[in-house]
Amino acid sequence: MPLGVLLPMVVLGIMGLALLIRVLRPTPPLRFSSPEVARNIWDRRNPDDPACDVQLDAAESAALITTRTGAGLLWSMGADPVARRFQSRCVCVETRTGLVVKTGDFTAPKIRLVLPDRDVRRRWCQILEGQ
Amino acid sequence: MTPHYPDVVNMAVPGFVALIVIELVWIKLKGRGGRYELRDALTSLLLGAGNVAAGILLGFVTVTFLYTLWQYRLFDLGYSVWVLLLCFVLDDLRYYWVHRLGHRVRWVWASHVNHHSSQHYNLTTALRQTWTGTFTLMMLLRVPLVLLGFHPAMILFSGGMNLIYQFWIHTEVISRMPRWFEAVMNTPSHHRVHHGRNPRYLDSNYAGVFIVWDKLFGTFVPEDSAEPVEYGLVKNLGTFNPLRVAFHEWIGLFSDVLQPGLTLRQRLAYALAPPGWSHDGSRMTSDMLKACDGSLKAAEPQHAGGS
Ligand SMILES: [Zn+2]
Ligand SMILES: [Zn+2]
Repeated sequence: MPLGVLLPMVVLGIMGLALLIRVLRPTPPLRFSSPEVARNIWDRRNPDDPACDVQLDAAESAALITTRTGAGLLWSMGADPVARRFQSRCVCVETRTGLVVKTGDFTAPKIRLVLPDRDVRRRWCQILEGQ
Repeated sequence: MTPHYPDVVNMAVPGFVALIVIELVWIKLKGRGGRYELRDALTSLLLGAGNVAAGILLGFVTVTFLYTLWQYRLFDLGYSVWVLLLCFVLDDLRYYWVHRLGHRVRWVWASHVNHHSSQHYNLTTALRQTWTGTFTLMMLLRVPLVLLGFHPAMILFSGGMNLIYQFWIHTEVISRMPRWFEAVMNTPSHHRVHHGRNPRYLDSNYAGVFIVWDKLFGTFVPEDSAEPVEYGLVKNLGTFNPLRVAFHEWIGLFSDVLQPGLTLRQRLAYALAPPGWSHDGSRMTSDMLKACDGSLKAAEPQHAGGS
């Protein structure tokens, strides 16, 4: 197939579908309505290392999980959850409204957390950085 | 004379787009039958576009290889419809083994993993295709077909038709097809199982078009309504960046192979053993996950009785 046909077809197809999904919004973004909801998701994904303590961020889109072996984060990626345990490899950068966690993990490089309270922010940071 | 086979996959693009629109609208109207999220779908579509681009840039490698090999064919089966049908069936058997290796050998999984990297299962997931297939050298599994006398153009056409067939099965809109169809063909139900991260669904239903290969080689697992499929990877990705999705397993593979202090055997195993293999036992393969899940389930009734 000539590139002059294929290229516009692919580009217009992607743009059109993206626009339609944006307008229709068939699936809402994932929010953790309570710490228990976050705990259940974490425990199902990490049966060998269940959550001891769960704290939600202000947007209810991420949870700080403390387990027997350390700390981890559960956060929403669009409509779905992603969970990671950290072994003191991550670095927290404070922003005006929260934290950006740089994980050093190629498959989950940056996690944004909404934590308007400065003390809470510092505490999360300490736990995540393993101090 | 060699007949001309059309470039079916690229020609099917408008059909793919139209069916995605229909699925999207159906889900919105009915409120069931699957989920769509903008960034997830966009990642799938961009990976699909990247696959087309990779075909344009690297497709010549496979084509040159097959046409070179054609000089050494043992037979010439010609171009009749019957030969084409036979070619399609045998190429589907070839697909089964490429796909099975794609889940059991990390070198091939590094390429195939991105097809499984979405936690959604809709028609856009079908387009989440690899950019690095050429580097897996899986074109070697086409050697027997060429030597048997199936023309390379016919083999590539069959492969294209196979890929097109697999598009429509990436949906939750269709629950089950008629029983005779489910018995012979790959269907949305069978392929949903293949995309599951539930331990009991891992490494099953590798079929392209005919599910009979899984039944024949012992890898068939039916969808169980008591255990809904959770889609995605054992360790799901925390990024929508198509470049990270396309290359993450290659980067993981090479950083494992090149780490200091390993024997040659261990380095080879990081590239060729099943995904999840590790020299220190710090990770889980699908076999280990299945065994773990099996013993957990076996312990459950006792546990419930004791509490
Ligand atoms: Zn697969
Ligand atoms: Zn698939």
